[in-house]
Amino acid sequence: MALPAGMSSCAMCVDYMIGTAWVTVLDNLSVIEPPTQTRMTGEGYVFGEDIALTTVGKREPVEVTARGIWAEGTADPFYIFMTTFETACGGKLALRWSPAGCVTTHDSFFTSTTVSELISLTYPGGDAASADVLMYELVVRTPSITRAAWA
Amino acid sequence: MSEETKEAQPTEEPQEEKPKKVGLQDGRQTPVYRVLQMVNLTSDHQTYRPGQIVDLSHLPQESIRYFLDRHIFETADGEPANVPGNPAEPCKNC
Repeated sequence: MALPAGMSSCAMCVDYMIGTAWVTVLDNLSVIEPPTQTRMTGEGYVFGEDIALTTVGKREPVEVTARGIWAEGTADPFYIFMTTFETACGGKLALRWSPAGCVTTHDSFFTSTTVSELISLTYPGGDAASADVLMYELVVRTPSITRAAWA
Repeated sequence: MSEETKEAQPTEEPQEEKPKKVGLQDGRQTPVYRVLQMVNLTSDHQTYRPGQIVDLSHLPQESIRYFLDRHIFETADGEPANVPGNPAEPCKNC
């Protein structure tokens, strides 16, 4: 049996959407933590059986975590995320990532473009004993993740 | 009479531009396609939903055939929702 074609995410594309258009941030974001989406589950027991009666419900919302490398200056997308986060009662923000790159025939996965919300923002910090780059983190909560092919 | 023609000229020019045709430089119209599955176009990096009409003139014919075979697009008529153009630059290493 032939091995499947291995892919790496070294060429991954990442975009965000605030409004209606996708904006590329592949030069700014560094990590997309793969979200795990689950369904609600239920279980019950009866006296006559030793195993559970299991049930499955609807898909639960998912949180997508992205980390970016921070740079000084308002041109950095961090400040766009910060402005969105500071929107009263929550700001809409969708994320899209293409694990194998955004070229034709490859796939992208994206959070809902209408109801995804930025629910957490970790500000850049510092450690005098570290030479690491300064990073920030954002979390987007969405009820669904959709796949689309690049064409 | 000459004054009338002078006044009429500026209004006629935008009228000619109104019908938005997606065409090649020689005037032929390019075929357009209906989206059957959610796609992102590399030409503008935007997402198009099933039912929308798109222009795929940024793709080579073999790529269009690939997508037609996989029922991602079908041939259609209508005004495309996207602006035809060259693939956008974002993907640097792939």
